[in-house]
Amino acid sequence: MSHKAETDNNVGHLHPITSTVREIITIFGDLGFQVAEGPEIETEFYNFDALNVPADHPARDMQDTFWIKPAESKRCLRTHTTSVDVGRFLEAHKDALPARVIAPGKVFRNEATDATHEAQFFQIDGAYVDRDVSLAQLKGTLEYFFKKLLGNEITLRFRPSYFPFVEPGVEVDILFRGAWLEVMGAGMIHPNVFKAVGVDTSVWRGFAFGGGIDRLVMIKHGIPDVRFLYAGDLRLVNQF
Amino acid sequence: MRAIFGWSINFDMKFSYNWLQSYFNEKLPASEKLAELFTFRFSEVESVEQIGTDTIFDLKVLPDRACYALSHRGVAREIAAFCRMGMVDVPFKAVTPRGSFGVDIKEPSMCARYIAASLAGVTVSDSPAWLVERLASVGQRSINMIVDIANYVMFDIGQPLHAFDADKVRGVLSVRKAREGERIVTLDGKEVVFKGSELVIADEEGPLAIAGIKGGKRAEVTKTTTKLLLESASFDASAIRRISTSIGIRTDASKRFENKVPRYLAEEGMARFIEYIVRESRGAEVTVASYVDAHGELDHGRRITISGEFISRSLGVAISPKDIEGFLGVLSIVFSKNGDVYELDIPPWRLDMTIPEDVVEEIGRLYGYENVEPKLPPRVSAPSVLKALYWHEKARDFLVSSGFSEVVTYSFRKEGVMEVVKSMASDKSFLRDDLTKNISEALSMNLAHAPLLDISQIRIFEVGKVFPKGGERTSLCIGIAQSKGFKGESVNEQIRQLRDRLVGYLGAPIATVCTIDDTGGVILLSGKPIGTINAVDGVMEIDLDTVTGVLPEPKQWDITVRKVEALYSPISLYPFIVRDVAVYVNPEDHFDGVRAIINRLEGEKKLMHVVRKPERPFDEFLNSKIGKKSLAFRLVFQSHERTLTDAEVNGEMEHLYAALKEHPGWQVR
Repeated sequence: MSHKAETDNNVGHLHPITSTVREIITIFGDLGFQVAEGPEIETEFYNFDALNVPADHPARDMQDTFWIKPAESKRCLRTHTTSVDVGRFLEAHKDALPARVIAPGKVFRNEATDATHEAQFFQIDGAYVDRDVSLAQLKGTLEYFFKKLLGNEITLRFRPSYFPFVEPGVEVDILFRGAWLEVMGAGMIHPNVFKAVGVDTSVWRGFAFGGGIDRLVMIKHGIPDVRFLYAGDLRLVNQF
Repeated sequence: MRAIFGWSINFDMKFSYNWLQSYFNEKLPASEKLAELFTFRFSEVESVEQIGTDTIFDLKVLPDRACYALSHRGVAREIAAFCRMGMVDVPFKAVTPRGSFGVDIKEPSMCARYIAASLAGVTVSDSPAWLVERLASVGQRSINMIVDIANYVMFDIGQPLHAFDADKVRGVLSVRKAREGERIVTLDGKEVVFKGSELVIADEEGPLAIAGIKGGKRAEVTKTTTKLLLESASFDASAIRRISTSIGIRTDASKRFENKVPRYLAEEGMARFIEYIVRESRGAEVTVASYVDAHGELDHGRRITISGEFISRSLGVAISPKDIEGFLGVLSIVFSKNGDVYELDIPPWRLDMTIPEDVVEEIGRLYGYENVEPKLPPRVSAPSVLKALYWHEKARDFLVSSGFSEVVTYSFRKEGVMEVVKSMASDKSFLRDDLTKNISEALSMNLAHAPLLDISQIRIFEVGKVFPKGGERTSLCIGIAQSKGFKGESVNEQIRQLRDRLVGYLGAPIATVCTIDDTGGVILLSGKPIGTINAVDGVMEIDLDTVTGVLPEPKQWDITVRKVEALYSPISLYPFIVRDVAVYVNPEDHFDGVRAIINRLEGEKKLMHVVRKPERPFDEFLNSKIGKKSLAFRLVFQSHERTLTDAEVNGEMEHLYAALKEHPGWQVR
């Protein structure tokens, strides 16, 4: 009797977030955006102060932000990667501008979890700084990005919004598979942010944008619950 | 899902179409059109609801605009701007100071202005129908005429107001810090014990109200009240937010103060409060006995200088002077012009407008962002490649091509080194200090699902931050698990081989400097421990930052990008049932024959719950003694709706056995 050896059916799969991050890096790379990385445990300065978030802004509360013990150290789990591209990168490159930079990465919010909310998720944030920068270019850049990522048939629109680190500020919606979805916040970088990181506001202007990667992964693949992404479960991962 | 870029702390407020209409002689656009204009010119519309002859808009007012737009007049001003409609705003009659009533502002940094007026000859009756209706339209219950008028004026122009029964107030009124241990029973009967940093309105007996947040029971206005003490004040936004959070009371008044109520408005608020009380107290002789306006510095007028060129350049679209001036006009911004440069006088209610960029936003939204044509920034050369990221991706590619799947697990756990101040749950207080534990747990969970995944081994990895003492680093953890009966090498041996291949793949520098001490289960780089191997069976973890540190700079971004288009198929939460079948077939027969039978039975609905059909037999051998080939294969049964019973599955299996036996020369073993 001759038995064949047990077959090895293993085919490896990248996590859908990684695949999407790679696509994002490639698309923005085509537009000249480089990637920046930064720490997940962030200082209050880069996470909040430098981004023009008022000292008594509700987002700084323990209910919204994971502060690290001891509380006096004023360090928190970053609540966005805006701390990386707008905070740290622009400060480090203030004498080497112009700059085009994106920061994909894990971020944290202290809130109750459900199908659409997680305490940890991935964000893509980006900044563009040059002598002549406009809201029209922000729109052009994001439209290029979303068409490459989700297909040419999407439509993109801006609505008035507010974020402390931009002025004007807009909400970015896309029409995808018949529904309008909020996918990003964006706007022209606020002069107070430039001042905080030492960029000369008489010369440089910029735009910034940021949104959740998990949500993009979920809408693209039809995944109904964000928590599935972090369950370590190959029943999900091996589908992609 | 909430906005992720930052935090939009929006304030929901209900707005009545009819109430907004009262500010215009012209007919407003239809409610659908108005909702669309709100969305693209002003704020998100949470809902639009038709109630009787009125339409109610629930708007999420943006925090920067909350200083003027948490009121019907504020939103009417918006409509006037984006519909270019003339507004009717009846001027108020200022009240002249009189009487000798004393107000002592002891905390001027928290209370910039306090206007107090006492009224005599008051009858506290029910509200007239128009007032009850107006308040009801925005979800407010009628209490009595005085309280209702205070609320009405607040929802109308945005100034919070309060009324005390003047006969229950003892002596001089002061705006002071609460004393530790002092108490107040609020109007809704809740007792608050002060810590000592709260701001209160007090008389000689003690606190009468929590300033800007909630009135107290002691001087409540009731049906028997005949003398009123009215309050219209300006409290500091940060102070009110801090106090309201600390005592856990948020009200319509505190929400407005938190968002800055312009100081100039206190005077108008009081004047309108008095005006409505006098007007609605039909027949009664109401007199203003005293009126005092205690204040420090009031709002400064603000001026912004901006050029038309700056506006056009910021938006990336040429806006004509005629358009700019038209937009400034509808925003009630008075300007003077010198060439292309405008000197703007900002209206007092627009506390949000302080810098030229704010003006750009106003022009941009009124011009319409939909009219801004997208433009791509100029082309530049390919960006530099981030070394660490590049090598992380290379390691991922190697592992995926070696049959490993990537997982992303939680950064929080029960025990660790770095702790968060306030955790979501008691088992999530710490940050992970390794990935080994997460990978081990994922291995056993996935091994239990192996039949569903149609794999005999679980091979997984994670790349992620871990948080050891004093900081964080990027870790790579790789794990293999297989069932006890797996025919092949041990997981530890496979991990050892993988380690060698990984080191070889990443390149020479690592191979020459990396030595491994297998006996201790430690991975060394230049003699320094950088990870563990098989410390837990079949798991290795290395410090990826240190490893990538010794690798060369990447030349270009050559990471595979595979467009993944797959749509998710639901995972059942119910248990699955495995059935293994062995069948003798003729030596020349293939497994395809078995697959055809399974497919046919599915078509005939005789196999209903197979979630995993066999691609190939898991065992195959020739029995030369009987001249037959044995094929062993596995079926996995599962329902998306319920737990399947053994009997159900046995029933489906009987159909399969029968079909297999019908095949010439085949027999089920």
